[in-house]
Amino acid sequence: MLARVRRAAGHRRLIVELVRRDFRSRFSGARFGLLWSLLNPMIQLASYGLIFGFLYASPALGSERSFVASLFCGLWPWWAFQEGTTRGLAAVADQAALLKKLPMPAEACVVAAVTSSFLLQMIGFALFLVLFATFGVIAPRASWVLLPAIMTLEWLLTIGLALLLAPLFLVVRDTAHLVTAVLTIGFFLSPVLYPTELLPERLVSVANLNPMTALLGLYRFAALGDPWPTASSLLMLFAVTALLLVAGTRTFARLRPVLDQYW
Amino acid sequence: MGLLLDLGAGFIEEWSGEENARAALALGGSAEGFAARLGAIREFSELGRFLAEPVRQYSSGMRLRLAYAVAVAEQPDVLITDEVLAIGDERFQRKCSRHIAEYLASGGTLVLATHNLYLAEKLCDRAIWLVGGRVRALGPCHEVTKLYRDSELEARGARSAPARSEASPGGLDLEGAFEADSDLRMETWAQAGEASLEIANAAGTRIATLAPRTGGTLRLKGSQLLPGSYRLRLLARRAGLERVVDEWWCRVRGDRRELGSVVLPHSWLSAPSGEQGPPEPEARLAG
Repeated sequence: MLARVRRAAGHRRLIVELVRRDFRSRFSGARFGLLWSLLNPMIQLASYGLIFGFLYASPALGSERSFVASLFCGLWPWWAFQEGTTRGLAAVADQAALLKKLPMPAEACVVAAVTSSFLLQMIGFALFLVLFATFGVIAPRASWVLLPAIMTLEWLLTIGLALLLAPLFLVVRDTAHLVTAVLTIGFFLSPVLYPTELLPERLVSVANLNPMTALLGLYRFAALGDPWPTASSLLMLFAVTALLLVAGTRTFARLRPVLDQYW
Repeated sequence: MGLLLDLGAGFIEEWSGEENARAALALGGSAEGFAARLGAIREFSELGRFLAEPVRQYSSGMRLRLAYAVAVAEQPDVLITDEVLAIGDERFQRKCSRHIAEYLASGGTLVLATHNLYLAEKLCDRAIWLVGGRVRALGPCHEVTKLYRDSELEARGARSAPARSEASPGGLDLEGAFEADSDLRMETWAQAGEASLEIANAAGTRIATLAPRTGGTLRLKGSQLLPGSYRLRLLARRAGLERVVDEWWCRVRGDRRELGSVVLPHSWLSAPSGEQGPPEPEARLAG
C-alpha cells in the first residue's frame, strides 16, 4: 500500500498535466469558459433556494438566509463527489487512446479525472464562500482553515470509490448508468438540501451509516459553525474512506493485468 | 534513454505539441528542471506558436522537430534513433547533426539504425550489419560499410552485365574490380557513330561523362575515384536521345576515408592560421 502511494506520488507531475489538459479541453472554444461552470451551479442554488426557502418555506429550515448558506455547503461538496465519481469511473475508458500510447499507470487517469472535478467545484465553492461573506450571508470564521482538509478527505473518498468502480465499468458499461441512478437517490438521502438535525429521531442512526452525513456535517461545521457531526457518523466516514481507498487501489492493481483487453 | 523512432508513436494526435511535450517530460521521471526542459524543447523545436496546435496538424518535419527536441530534452545517456533524422528541412537536419556531434563529444551514446551509409560513417564509430536479424558483420564502422557496399555491388553485378553479342551496337570490357592505386583499362567500341562513357556512383548519380568517341582503349586513373562501387555505361547518342548500349559495375578498393566519389587534385597554399585546422581535403560531389 505504502509503495503504491509512493509510486503514485512519483506520477504527480503526470497527474498535474492530465488535469491541466482536462481543464483546457473542457473550456476550449467557449468564450466565457470558467464562467459557465460557475453560472450553472448558481442557477441551481437559486432554484433550490427559491423553492425550499420561499415557496415551500418551512420554519424548521431556519431563515432564508441561513437556508441558502446551508444549501450552499451541501450542493458544492455533493457535486464534487458526484462528478468525481462518474467521471473517475469512466476515466480509464475515456483515456484509452492515451493509455495505449504513453507508458503510464491507468490509475493516474482516474486520479486526474477526480482531481479535475474536485478542483472545479472547489474553486466554485471558494469563490461563492468569499462572495457570501462579502454580502453578509455567511460570517467569516477561523474554522474555514479546516476546509482544505475536509476537501482532501472527500477527495480521497471519491478516488477510492472511483478506483473500485473503474474496472467494473470497463467490463460492464451499465455500471455508469447504475451509479448515476444511485447517486440521484443518494442526493435526496444525503443531507444536501436539508441539515441532518431536521431528520426524525428514528432515522438519524440510519442516516449516520451514510458517510456523506458526516462529510456534509463537517463542511457545515467548518464553513457555518453548525454543530460538530456525531462521533458515530464521523467514525463511519473515516472507516468508509479508508476501506474504499484500500479496496479501490488493491482491486485496481489486482485487475490491472486483465483490464487491457477492455480498452 | 532517449527514443526517436516512429514519429507518430509517442504523440497523442489530439493534444497540442506543448501538451505532448509536457506529458513526455512528466513521464520522463525527475521532477527537477521541468520548466527548464520545457523551455529547451520550445527553443530547440523552433515551432513557436504551432506548439499550441494539435499534433495531428503537424507535417512530418514539424513532428521530427518536436520528437527530437523531446528525445534530447532529458539529456539521455543513450539515444536510439533511425532514419527519421533524414526527414525535415536542411537547416534543421544540420542543427540535429551539430547537436548529435556535441552530444557524442560530451560522452553520449548513439544507436542509429539506418541504411544511409553516409550518415553512419559520419556519426558512428562501430557498426553492425544485420541481415534478417542476424549479424553479418561487426566492427569499425568504415570497414562494415565497405563490406556492405561491396556486397551490394556483387548483387548488382549479377543483375547487370548484359552479354556482349554481335548484334549489340557497341560495348565495353573491363576487369571487375581494381585497386585505387592501379589504373582502370577498358576496351570500348561503338558500331554506329559515337558513344560516350558515363561514370555514376552506386546511387546512380552521374559523376562524369567522357567526350564521345567511336571506340578504343580507355585508361582511367583509379586514384581519382574514392573507394566504392561505380556504374560505367556506354551511351550511344542518336537523334538527340541517349541510349545505354552497355553497362558494367566496377568496384574501387582502398583505404581512403574521404566521403564522396572523386578526388579533386588540389593543393593548400597557406599554413593554417589560428587554432582551427585546415578543412579536410575532401571533395564531395555526389554521395
